[in-house]
Formats: sequence, C-alpha cells, structure tokens
Amino acid sequence: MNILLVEDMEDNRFLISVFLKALPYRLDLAEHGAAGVEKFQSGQYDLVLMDIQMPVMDGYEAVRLIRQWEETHHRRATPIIALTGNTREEDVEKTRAAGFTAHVTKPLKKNIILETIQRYAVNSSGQELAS
Amino acid sequence: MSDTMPASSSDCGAGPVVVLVDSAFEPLIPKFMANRNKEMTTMSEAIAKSDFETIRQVAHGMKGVSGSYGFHGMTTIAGRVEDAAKAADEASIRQDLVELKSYLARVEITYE
Repeated sequence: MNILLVEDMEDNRFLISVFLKALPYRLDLAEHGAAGVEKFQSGQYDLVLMDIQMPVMDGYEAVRLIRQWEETHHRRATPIIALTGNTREEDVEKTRAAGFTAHVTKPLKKNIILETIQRYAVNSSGQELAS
Repeated sequence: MSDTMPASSSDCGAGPVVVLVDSAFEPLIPKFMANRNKEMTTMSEAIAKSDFETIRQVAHGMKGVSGSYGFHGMTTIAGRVEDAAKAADEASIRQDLVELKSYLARVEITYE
C-alpha cells in the first residue's frame, strides 16, 4: 500500500514513519500542502494523511485541489485523512466540507493511525483492503 | 506514556519532570528536544515583537507534537500559550513561556 503523508513538522513525520516501520506500507513524505498536491498528482496513493496547518499551502486548500484534480481526471476519490489538533465540531465539519474523508485528532497515537489506515485504505484497483 | 508534574499549573518548581516515552521513539528524542528548544527561541523572539500569530502557530504545533511523544505537560502549557496568543494576552504568554522553559530544563525521560 502506498501512503502519502503531508506534514510540516518533521517530528510528526518521524513519528508516523516509526509507527509504520514494521508494516508493508510505502510511505512518501511532503512538507506542505503544495508539495503534497504535486506528489499526489505524480504518484499513485491508496491513502493520504494530511496535516491542516502548514506553511506555503494548508491542508484545506491542498485537499480541495486534490479533489478538483481527481474530478477532472475522472479518478476515484482517494481517502484523505486530516491530522488535526482542533476538536471543535465546527473544525471537524470544516474538514469534511473541504473534502477530507475523515480526521484523526492529535496527539497522534499508533493504534489510531493504524486503525484509520486499515479502515479507509483502498488499493490501486479500487478494492478495499482486507482487515 | 505520561509525565508527572506538580498539580499546580503555575508551579515552576525545581524538581524533575519525569516523562515516560515509548522506547521506539528513543532515536527521535534528541531531534525532538532540539526542535522544542528552537521553538522556545522563536516564541521568545516573537513576544518581543508582539508577533502573536507566530506564537500561535508555533504553540499549536508544539501542542500537537509533544503529546504524541508523551510530553503531556508540554501539551498543556503549549495549549495555554496558543489560547493566550489568540487573545493577544502578552502577560499570560510570558508567564507560560517561563513555565515551558522550566519544564524543558527539568524533563527526565524514562523509556518504557
């Protein structure tokens, strides 16, 4: 499975890399939303983990651009999971409205990340991966 | 993962702050601590210029990442800094930055 992590804080990138180290996932990294959009468009991913507050381009704008690109290119919507420190209902609703599939609240926990990946990831042919 | 701190949120005592960290994170900790100290410098420079937006952004990031590594006391204080920055409350920010500095100086990591 190919996963794209879009996260500006290197400590969070390192952390998720450790979480996934022993698993058969390939993890690509991007440091902000614009780099994430570029990698998404040039690669093939089963799932995206994306931070919200990032420099250059935030997660809201990045996910909107990805969804527009998917629609233009007739691509199936890739699961995009928001990694957010905001837990207010209006913030959760904002992630949904922007195009995120779901959200995970920071602090990041290994079991939550793995459960989320397992729950939402689809393989490249569009089939859900077995749990 | 947890850390033990004095019950009072304003207690900048001299005792150690014991933080329990997953042993899988041990190789990441030197960089983690270096980055937190850099953030302290950034916020200290920002408060001198009343740059509340920079403080808000940095504190928000610190709040999220520190809890993920087990530094829950830091999460709490950084959260207060973030809220104070949103309110442009310079006095509270300064007080909380002192507490953060104390926390970072007293932290003792135990790997589990």
